[in-house]
Amino acid sequence: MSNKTNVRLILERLHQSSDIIAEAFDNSRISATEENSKRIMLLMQQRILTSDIYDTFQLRYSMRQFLNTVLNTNKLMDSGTDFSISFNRLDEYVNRHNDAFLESRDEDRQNYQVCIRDLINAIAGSIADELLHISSLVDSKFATVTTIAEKMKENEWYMNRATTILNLLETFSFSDIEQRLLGHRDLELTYELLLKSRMSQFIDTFRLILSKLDKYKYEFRKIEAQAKLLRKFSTHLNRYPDWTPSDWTSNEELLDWMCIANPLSLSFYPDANDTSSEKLLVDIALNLPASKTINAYKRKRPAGILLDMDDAPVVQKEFSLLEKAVSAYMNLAISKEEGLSARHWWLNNPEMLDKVSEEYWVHRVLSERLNRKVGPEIRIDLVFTESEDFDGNIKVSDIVVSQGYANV
Amino acid sequence: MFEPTVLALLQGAFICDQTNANAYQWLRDGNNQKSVDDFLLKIGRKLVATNNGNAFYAAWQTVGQNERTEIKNIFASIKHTIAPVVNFLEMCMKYTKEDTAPTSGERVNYSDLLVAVSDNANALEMLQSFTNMGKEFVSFDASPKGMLDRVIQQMIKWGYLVENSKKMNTYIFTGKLDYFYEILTFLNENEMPGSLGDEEESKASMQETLL
Repeated sequence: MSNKTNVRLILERLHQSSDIIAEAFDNSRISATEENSKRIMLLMQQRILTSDIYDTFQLRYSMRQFLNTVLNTNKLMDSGTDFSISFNRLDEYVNRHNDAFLESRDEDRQNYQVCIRDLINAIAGSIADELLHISSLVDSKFATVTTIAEKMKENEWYMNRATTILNLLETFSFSDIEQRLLGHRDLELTYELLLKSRMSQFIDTFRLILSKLDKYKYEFRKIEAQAKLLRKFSTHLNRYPDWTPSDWTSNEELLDWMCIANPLSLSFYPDANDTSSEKLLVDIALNLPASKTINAYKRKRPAGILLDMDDAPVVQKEFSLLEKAVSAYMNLAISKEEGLSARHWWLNNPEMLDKVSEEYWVHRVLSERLNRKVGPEIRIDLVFTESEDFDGNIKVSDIVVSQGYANV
Repeated sequence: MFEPTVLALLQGAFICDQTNANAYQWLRDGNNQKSVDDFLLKIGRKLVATNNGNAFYAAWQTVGQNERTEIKNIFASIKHTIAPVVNFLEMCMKYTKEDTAPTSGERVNYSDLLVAVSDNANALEMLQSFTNMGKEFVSFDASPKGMLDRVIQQMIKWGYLVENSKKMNTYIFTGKLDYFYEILTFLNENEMPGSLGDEEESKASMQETLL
């Protein structure tokens, strides 16, 4: 009994001087003032404070260690404890609500209903927040710390934390809260919508997080091993710069990494008959360089008409009757040594010179002097009389075409 | 997805989340792995995943005389990369303020590295040591930036880094890093024990740090 009284006395004194203790803990020391000097002396008597340099005081080592332990423990159990307390409180509120309902204390029952709804809401919100917080840390692979040793510590701590919460959720999901809320429609709905329906998702997500953390544990160990490996090789290569590995490829048994296949130089062609190659073929066509030797076929084929490319069209020139007559006359004339009169020929070949006057015919044959090269092959003589006025003009009465001097 | 994945594998690609995310996700499916493996087996190759499953590549199914010649050539080029890649990883470990071994998917902040090699004599010395590791690291630009660019470009060429963001100037380690760690682990187990023990190594490392 006396022990209990002493504990209570000490706790009361600590409570009365909680501000001094907190300041001494946070700032490492506290200065004595007129206001707090009496209480500081009291705490020194209780061996909670000890004198520091000058007029300052600090927490005794045992007290500081106790607070550190308590605070660290609080941090470790923070989330789990909160949920645990909330679940216990919910359980208690449900009991009290049911008691109030049985005892027809309507006002109390309504108060408890509000409390239960708030608590359910708070629990669901806290779990969701917790999940978000842990997920972001896990997804970033604990980016807030840089060294692998710290990452491993964080990983372990969150594994414990996630396991604690998961156990709590699994235990809660098997509890009889739901049965005890039966008949109270409003509470049933609140519980169902806010918590129960989300519970399986919460549990699955925590399990997923745990599996990730478990994987990270393995990865971090591996990364640590790889870091050691790198340092070892780096040191070795610094010491022995000329070191090269032995030729392990001569071994009978080869590991997979040694058997890496040499790259093949591959080129492929799209199948022109395959419709799926169309896009590829279009790409190729678009990227073809412009040809310097081949001109694009510009002539357009008339719609609906097929061009027969096998038979090249031959255009036969149509000679007029007069042209044929000139040709026949000239050919005949150059075959005769004595020549042939144009007017004479006109007179004997009326069928070839239909509607051509004699005068026009002589003019036409005369123009052949300009068209044909007179000389070795052909000779064209004019039969003429000079003008009486001696003005240089002559009057052509006939033309005689004969062989040129080369054929004479 | 089958065709591009197989073509990439045959062309010697390491398929990982960083270089070819679609093909990598597709290959993670067991059925797809089997279909690719079945195809590769027909042409004397097989599908192999790295130890952590962060990358896939094609390896010879059986090793005959011809394959052994190819393997020797590839191993010779791998041996040539060991010292520079170790040096680069060590540099990232030391000077990006994260004392952890780089793993696939991790970012390399170019700016952090550049600040480190510009301000820190040890880091600069480490960067300069690359020039003794092969002609591919010799740069006409002898400034820290020029040398660092050269090193990063070589790491990209060897397939250990890919550019992540041009704007942010960051790069990402690829799944091929897993393959590199496999090689180191093997060599450590089979060649290194005689050279340095763990304690000796940590002492040497500590001495180096103190110096």
